[in-house]
Amino acid sequence: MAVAIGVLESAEYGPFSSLQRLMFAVQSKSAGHGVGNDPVEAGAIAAVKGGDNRSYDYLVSKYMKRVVSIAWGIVRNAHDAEDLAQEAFVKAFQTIGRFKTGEPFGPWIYRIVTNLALDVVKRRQRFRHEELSDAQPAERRDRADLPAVTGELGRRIDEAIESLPEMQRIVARLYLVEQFDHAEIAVMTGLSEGTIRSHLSLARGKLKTRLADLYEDAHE
Amino acid sequence: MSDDKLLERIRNDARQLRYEPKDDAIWTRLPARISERVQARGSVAQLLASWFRPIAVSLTALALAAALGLTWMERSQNVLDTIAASPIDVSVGGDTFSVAD
Repeated sequence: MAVAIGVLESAEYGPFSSLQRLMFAVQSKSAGHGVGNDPVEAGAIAAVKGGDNRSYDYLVSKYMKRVVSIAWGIVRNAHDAEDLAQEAFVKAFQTIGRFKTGEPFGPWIYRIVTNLALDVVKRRQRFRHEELSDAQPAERRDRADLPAVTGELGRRIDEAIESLPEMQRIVARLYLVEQFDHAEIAVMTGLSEGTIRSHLSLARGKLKTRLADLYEDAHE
Repeated sequence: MSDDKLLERIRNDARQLRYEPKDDAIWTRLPARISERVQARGSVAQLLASWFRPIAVSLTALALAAALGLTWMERSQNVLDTIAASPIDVSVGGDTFSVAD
């Protein structure tokens, strides 16, 4: 009963009824899994694996905002981001049989959407006969969906990140905006942690120059 | 301030740049689309789980039962053949009788 109460009181569960959440939690408990500190998620994954497709709605509602944000940060286009998020969730569902029970769903879906988004970026670049390592930043200036609350500081940071070469931009965005750590970004992008640190180091130097007036005390 | 601290300050300020679409309808449209596609066709793994796996288990059980049955019948036949092939001598009142084929 303690599990059920904890579940009902924790986190945001979107459109799910208390009964559904309780069922997920009980399934999770009886299966002996523990996905981080979210037994509801483990229950939902177990239910989907068992053929209950409806339980997938919980995972979608929990992760969709982050997944769309990651996709948009990479492709910088609202329609593409939505399509990519959709594809990522469908792909994750289709291969959920391979998903390790007990693991958190987040890193898995983030990796899928990142890979899909990187494919889009690569296709765009191939179309423009460019390569990922090019010194010139790609043309992607979809700022229409920047948060309304973003002020001058936010706009300047966004411009500075967007002016970086492609992979530096993507890694910087995942680190600075999406707040992932080096190891998480390495898993998501399929690059080594050393490469991630290298991209970030190069990006930091450029950001330091471009945002010098905003972070003057940083040079002291 | 070190470069690392600079990056951390930028990171702290950049948090606000996470994507927030002006069109809030996306948060109802997207799950609906995903749900539609997910309901339309289950994954291969789920298909296996819901249909093929029980059938495969049943067929395996049947095959195992048949194999065990055949083995048992063959062994019984072998025992009969062995008995039939071995002459048995029976002595009654000093006379010996042989039972063979």
